[in-house]
Amino acid sequence: MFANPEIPLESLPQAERIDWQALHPDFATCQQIRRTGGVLLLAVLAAGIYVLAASRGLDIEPLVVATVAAGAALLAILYIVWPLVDVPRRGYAVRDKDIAYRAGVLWRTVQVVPFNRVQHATTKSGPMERGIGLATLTVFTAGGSGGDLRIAGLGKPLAESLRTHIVGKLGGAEQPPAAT
Amino acid sequence: MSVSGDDSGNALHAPAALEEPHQGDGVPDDWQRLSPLAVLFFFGRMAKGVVGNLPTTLGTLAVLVAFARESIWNAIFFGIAVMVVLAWIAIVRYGAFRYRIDAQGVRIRQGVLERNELDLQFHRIQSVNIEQSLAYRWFGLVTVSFDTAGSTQQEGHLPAVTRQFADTLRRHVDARRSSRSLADEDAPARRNAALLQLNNADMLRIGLTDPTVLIVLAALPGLAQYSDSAAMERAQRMVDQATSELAASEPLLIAAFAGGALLVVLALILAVTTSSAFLRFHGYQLRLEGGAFRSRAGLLTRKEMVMDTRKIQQLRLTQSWALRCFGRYRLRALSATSGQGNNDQNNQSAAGQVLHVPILAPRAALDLRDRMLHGEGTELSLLPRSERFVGISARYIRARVVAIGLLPALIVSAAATPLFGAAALLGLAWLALVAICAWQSWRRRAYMHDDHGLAYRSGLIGFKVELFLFRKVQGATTSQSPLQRRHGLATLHVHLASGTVSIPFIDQDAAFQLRDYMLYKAESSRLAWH
Repeated sequence: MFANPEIPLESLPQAERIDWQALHPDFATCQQIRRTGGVLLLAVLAAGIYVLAASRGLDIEPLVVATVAAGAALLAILYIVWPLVDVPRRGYAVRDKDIAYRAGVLWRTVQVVPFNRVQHATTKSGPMERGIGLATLTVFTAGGSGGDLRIAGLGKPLAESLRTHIVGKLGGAEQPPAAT
Repeated sequence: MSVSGDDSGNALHAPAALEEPHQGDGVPDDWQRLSPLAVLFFFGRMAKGVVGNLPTTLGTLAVLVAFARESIWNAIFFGIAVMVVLAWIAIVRYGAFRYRIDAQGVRIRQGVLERNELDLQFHRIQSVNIEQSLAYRWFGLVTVSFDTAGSTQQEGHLPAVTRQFADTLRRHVDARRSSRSLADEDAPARRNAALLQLNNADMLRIGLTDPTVLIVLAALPGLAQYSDSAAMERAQRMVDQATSELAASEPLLIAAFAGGALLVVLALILAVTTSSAFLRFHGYQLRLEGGAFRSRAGLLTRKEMVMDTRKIQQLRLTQSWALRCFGRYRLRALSATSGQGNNDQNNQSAAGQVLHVPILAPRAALDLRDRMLHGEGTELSLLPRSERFVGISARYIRARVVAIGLLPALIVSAAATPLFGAAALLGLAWLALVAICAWQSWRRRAYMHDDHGLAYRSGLIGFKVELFLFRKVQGATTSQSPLQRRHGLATLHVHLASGTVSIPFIDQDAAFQLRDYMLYKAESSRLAWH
């Protein structure tokens, strides 16, 4: 495949050898609280629709109702527990020339954005994130959302210092790194 | 009005009609008004906005139909009222429009309820595009639009200015660009060289290969079925009468009649698409001037489009089955998109500027590749049939069939069986269709790379080749599904300022190495990416 021997592929810095940094330890809890709230809201809505339908004479077999409810409950539990599996798999790394982020348990992704391609960077905290002291860092590149890098679950001071670091790198002199 | 500090010696002079600044409304003396004919531009933009906006179009049509049911005069009055309102708004917008050109750049003040001021500095202006509608041609006027660096800024327009003024403005911007161009050492030698010219035969080819032909042909039965107008009913009666008379005489004549009718419809469609090609691309010329590509085309409205070679992020060559019959290709050079958050009403800016070559021969495509990439990536083939393309893994077919074919087919068949019985198994025919498409898509998908860039081929019936340089890359992502991990495969997503190119199901080591290498090139390049 790599027919051109002049490309020093093996000597390039490799994202697979990155020492990934873990996200904030409270991020999984934050995700679980948010998901639990969403599930409870959906459950209340579903129960309300069921009671309304039953009061208007819709007759559904109790076995069917129980089966659907059990299935939904199982999915809800999996959904709520999933951050405990997912969050430890996420990680980020700030290198001299770029920032990298990995995510995914089943579908795994590794995204890298060079600093000299960053347009701007922002941090954002929702009400719950603010309560726990978390923030989301978003690094914007040219060309729309496809290439933007978003790291949720950072400690707020860390997110701010990362943003400052990245913004400080914008417009810096470009020197070719020595391939090691 | 003139521009001081123009080191090229090109002083800018306002057209004679604009020499006298408007007085007495608090506007500084050096702020200029446009020619009153600019009202046509504002009117046209608003009319386009109304037609292009689905809710307003539907609303207007609904009111028009409601009026027309009562009386045709009501509908006519309503139409006139809408035109009058648009014309009044156009006049107000013209009245609020001012522009000013100084040593730094072009400043535009516009807006009635919401005033805004656009500051386009010369060093940020990448190109000056000129468009001349038929109405403006009679008065020797043009509309100038400015394209700014990275397309992240709003575009500005100066409608109804003289051709001389537009050319002077363009020369001024070109002189600035040439003076700071790093990679245009041989520009003087190539300046004013016409790279590509399209003739009448090319117009015919563009018309014949217009995808609209296929779409209209496919939609014809549906249109005929749902059409209930009196004219269509009369036509239907005539066809029925002719058919019944023919049926009584000779079956062969029926076939000839049907074939003749189809040919007439086809000829009509081709006439429309060919006329459209003449309107859009008549006199097409592509030139390389001062480090920028300049295209000019149009029968009634002449459009001139300029794209700085440094702004080109990606080349996209396509070949439909119809173009394949003529051995021709279509080429687009894509610049940076402005991304999200840009509420500019100009869709071209939001979508990124595109230099469009409507038809070209293989040799011309390769020549343009070399010029557009400035000698980088010359080992990359822009033509899809190169043997140097490396195919993707055949496991792509299985993944596609399972994701798009098998699961939906099983779900639909299972749900439909109680209603339709064994007939529901016909839903499995979808599976066969998906399998054929996935196989064909897999055959098309391939990639190649050299030290400087990468070319990716895809397509189903036709071909599409996307080519970009590594140093233009904005970021890269590798993703792996469980199936891909098990077989050592990965999908590489390359983020460019013009969009994302995804290469699925390639060897994971190759994907990781390519990702790291293109990042290295992007991080170490001393050349600007735009």
